[in-house]
Amino acid sequence: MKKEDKYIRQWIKEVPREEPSPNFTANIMSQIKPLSAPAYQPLISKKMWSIIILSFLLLAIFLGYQEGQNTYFSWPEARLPEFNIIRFLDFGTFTSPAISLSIVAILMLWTFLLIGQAIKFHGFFKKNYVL
Amino acid sequence: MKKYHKDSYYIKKVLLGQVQFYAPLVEKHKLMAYNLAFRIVNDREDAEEVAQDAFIKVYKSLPKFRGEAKFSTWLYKIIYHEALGKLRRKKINTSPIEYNEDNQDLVTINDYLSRVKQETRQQYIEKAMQMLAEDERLILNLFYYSETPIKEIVVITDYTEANVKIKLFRARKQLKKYLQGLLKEELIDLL
Repeated sequence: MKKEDKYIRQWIKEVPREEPSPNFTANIMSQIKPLSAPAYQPLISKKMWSIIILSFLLLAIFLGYQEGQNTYFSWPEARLPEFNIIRFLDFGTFTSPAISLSIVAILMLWTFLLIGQAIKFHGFFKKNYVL
Repeated sequence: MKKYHKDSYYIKKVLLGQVQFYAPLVEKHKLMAYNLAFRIVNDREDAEEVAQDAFIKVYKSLPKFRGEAKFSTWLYKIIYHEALGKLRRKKINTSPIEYNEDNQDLVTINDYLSRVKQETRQQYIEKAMQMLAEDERLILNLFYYSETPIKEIVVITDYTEANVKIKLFRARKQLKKYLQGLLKEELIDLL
């Protein structure tokens, strides 16, 4: 059967292909109209919403666990060198305000979400619009 | 050769309201679509009409297209049914000339074919193909020319897998028989 297949394939492929008329595509395009309504596509898909909600839930659980643990985040202390000449301009040491871990976690999550959305927007506009 | 995106790329654009993206989809598939129609109806004008109608029908059904089958499979299925419908409306019956089966093997037939000029060879093959029943002609073209798998031919023709295989077997046998007959006539003419 393989030899038979080989010959038949060879013969059929030898038959030249017929070409449609030059205005084949134009004829079709002249007869079609835009479909009733463009399909709605949300910018933030259901999957993305699930990820966002799940992240917030996990954060809430994490923060609830951390409640009362009294953990704070702070930058290391920075001390300016003392200038003898300008002693009267004593600014003292800089101390950073204590920021709770909750706020840091929220800020980090917010940043990741913004970066994710920026990438998604970039991809969306690149795909759908010619600049 | 022009490069095209995947079919899903154009379909997505069309569904978002950008009608102009249907044109490259038509350009991508028009040659095969037209030839498929032509192999069934055997007339240039009818083939053009069938293929164009099929593309328009496909366009209108695009919102329903789920992507389970390939776009081309869906298109060919519509062309197949449109073409058969056209033949029925024109009440065209193909009654092939009967040749006695002479059990010459394919190597001998191929040998005879290789001795004639390419143009003549193509004419014989085309003539033998035209003698086949429409569905056998279509299945041979899909299987050997487009290299369409049997499972897709099943979707296009609505035949069962067993039926497609039987028709393919019959089509091969008939093609061989018709080629033998035509080549015999050629040899008689030469003598």
